[in-house]
Amino acid sequence: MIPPPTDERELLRQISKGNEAAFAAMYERFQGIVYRFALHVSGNAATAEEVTQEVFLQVIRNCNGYDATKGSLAAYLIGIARNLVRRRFEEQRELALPEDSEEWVEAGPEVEVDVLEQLDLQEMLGRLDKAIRALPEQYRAAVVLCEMEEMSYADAAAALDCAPGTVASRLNRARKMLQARLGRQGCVR
Amino acid sequence: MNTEDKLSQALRELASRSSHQLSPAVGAMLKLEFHRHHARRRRARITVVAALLVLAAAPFLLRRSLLAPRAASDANTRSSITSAVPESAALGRGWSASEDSGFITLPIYDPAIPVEGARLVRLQMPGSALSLVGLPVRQDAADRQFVADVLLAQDGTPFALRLVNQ
Repeated sequence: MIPPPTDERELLRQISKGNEAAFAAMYERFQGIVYRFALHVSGNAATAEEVTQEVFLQVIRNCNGYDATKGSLAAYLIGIARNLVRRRFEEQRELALPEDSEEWVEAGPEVEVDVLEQLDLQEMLGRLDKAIRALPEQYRAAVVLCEMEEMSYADAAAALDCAPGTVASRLNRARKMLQARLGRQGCVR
Repeated sequence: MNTEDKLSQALRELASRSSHQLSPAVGAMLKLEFHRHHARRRRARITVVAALLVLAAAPFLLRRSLLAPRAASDANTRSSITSAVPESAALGRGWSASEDSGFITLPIYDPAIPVEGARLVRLQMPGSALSLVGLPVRQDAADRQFVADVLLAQDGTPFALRLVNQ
């Protein structure tokens, strides 16, 4: 069997021609990041699974939407996942906060967070996870992509359909929100 | 390590410890759907190609189906004419070299033009008329009446005849 191509455009071209090995390769390569993104942004494993499945179904049905000049294939897939998660949020009316909410930043004190040193690792990660889930969606997405998945600002911007500067700004604010929330939990010395 | 770095490290640690895994059933379902989707596409492509071929061949097929009965009729007619014309009678224009037909094609008959719906009529006609259409009639029999079978085209045009033995 011919090994699947590594170039993303060629990979998609092969997929559009019905090359099952190419599809399997793409799925193996990207299902993890798409699932983790959907999981962290939605906060629900079942939703994340449905979203991941729908992302790849969309690629099966039409893989001509990817434009390599706009970003990586991972960013493209995460962009689809993000739209699907948002749609589910809208359906369930579970959007955490409106787009331009300042509530988080203004409510939280500007404190140095020592919680990361004070708590044992497991507890600290549990609190951090909750704090991430409580972030407004656009900030949560920036944290998941840039901090947890270590994606570049450019790729994250392609996935989130915004400018890299906006990603940087959202990430900065998200970090402040996380610090504030962890600080308010009384974990700050 | 400052707080910013610690937060980043904690976030990466959280990402790496994520215990949730995508169900293998999702991958299996997607592979199946991929297979189905492309099978449907292949079928659709084949259908389109077949339809295009039919469309491309339609004028030819239509012409052929329209001409086939006429050609068959023409062939039958010609066959009956030529087969009825005895070789000994093969004289002049329009005569056929066939063995056992008594029919003689008339000068108006054009083998290139298909004959449709030919009819056979039996007529009595003078020897002089038969002579005009090319039958070898002796001069002294010009006034004599002969019985002949005449083949008429659909529009009534005679295109072949034969003498009936009396």
